Amino acid sequence: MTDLLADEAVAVVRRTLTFEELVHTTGERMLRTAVLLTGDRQAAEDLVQSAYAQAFARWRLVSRANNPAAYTRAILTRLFLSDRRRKRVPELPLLDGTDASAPQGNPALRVSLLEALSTLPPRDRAVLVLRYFHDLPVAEVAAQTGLSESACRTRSSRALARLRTSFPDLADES
Amino acid sequence: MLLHDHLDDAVADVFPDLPALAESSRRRGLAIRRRRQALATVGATAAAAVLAVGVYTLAPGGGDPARDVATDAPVSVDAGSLSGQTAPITGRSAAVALASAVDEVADGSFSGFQGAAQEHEAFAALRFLPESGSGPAGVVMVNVQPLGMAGEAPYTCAEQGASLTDCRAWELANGDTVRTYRDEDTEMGEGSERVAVEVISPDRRLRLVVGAMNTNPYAEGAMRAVPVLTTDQLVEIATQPWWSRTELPTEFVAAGRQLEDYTSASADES
Repeated sequence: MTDLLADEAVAVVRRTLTFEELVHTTGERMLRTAVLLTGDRQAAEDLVQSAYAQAFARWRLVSRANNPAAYTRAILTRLFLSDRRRKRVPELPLLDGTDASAPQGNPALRVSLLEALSTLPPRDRAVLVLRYFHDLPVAEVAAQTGLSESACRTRSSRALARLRTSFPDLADES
Repeated sequence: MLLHDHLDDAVADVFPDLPALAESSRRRGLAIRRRRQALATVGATAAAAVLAVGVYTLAPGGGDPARDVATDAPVSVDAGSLSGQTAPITGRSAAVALASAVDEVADGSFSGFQGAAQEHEAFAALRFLPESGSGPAGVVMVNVQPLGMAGEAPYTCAEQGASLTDCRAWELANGDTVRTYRDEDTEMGEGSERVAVEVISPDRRLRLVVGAMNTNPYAEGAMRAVPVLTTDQLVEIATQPWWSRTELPTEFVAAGRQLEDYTSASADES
């Protein structure tokens, strides 16, 4: 589900949004984001649980936000970038492999992209994921990663250049 | 191939067990809430290293700037846990009530609590350091006063002074008036700024003012670009139904007794 669709779905249920509805509407995208950020499924599960837990702990604030999905994504990004985040084993396995549809594309390529991402500094990784996976504007990426817009652009260019050493066919994004 | 497509493809086979995710996240979220409440009850010991020595309104510019290093002091009370019972207001409970109301609308940490309560009014202030943005903590304060302090009805923007700008006033369904404004006086140095929200409640015989600044007396002139809370957030805080000149929920009063990093601004309270 694209961010736009997820946000629209959240908007539709906005008047009576429950925590469970938020998780069901955004959980898949959040977990995929976390996998791209951490490069590790177990760490990603823990990150997503932590983000939703914080959202639940402040549910009154989150549910009243203009965009609860974006708010929760911002929590996830902040947790990922925070050195203080606890490392712990998730309480329940979240990946449901039996429901997974057959992925498209080359599996080796997918693995190598995650590996390539993992070689980037965490903040650069977050910039790329927010900018190119979530298609967020630079200003929003900068705000969520604690960077200035110019620093955000610089990091994005630098990180893209590094990725191109492994993926020379990477096209310029419009 | 676009990076967007590469990224999509890289995680195309990632699917969560959504019911399990919701359940486990809720459980962890509840644990976070319980921890906050428990720590509030035992007195926010994490904040013990921070001790304010002055009264914001009396000692601007004094103190140690190191005190602006805010803590994650869990000093608030979850609004969902309020029993509906009330007890006489104190400076301490007003400080906890303010922190709890701020905690409902913003992420950040608290330090430097102050308060005072007299027969007909109460005051509380604290330093709040938002998680977002950059710059020093900002003072957030509340005054609960007799209705007469608001002047005569109708409560409009007409009588606002020259230093108060962006004034707006509107009436709520319950008959209360909300008035918001920006105060650009330089009480804490050039560039200091305060946004304020008043709730004038004839039914409760109450005038309540909450404000947020972009700095604090110990910031040595450092300013944030904007105050630490927005007008909308202050409206949320000021319109909490439990504000009163004389009573506050018992949970705030109990937590206030244990509050550390607290300085009384009245002579008869410690």
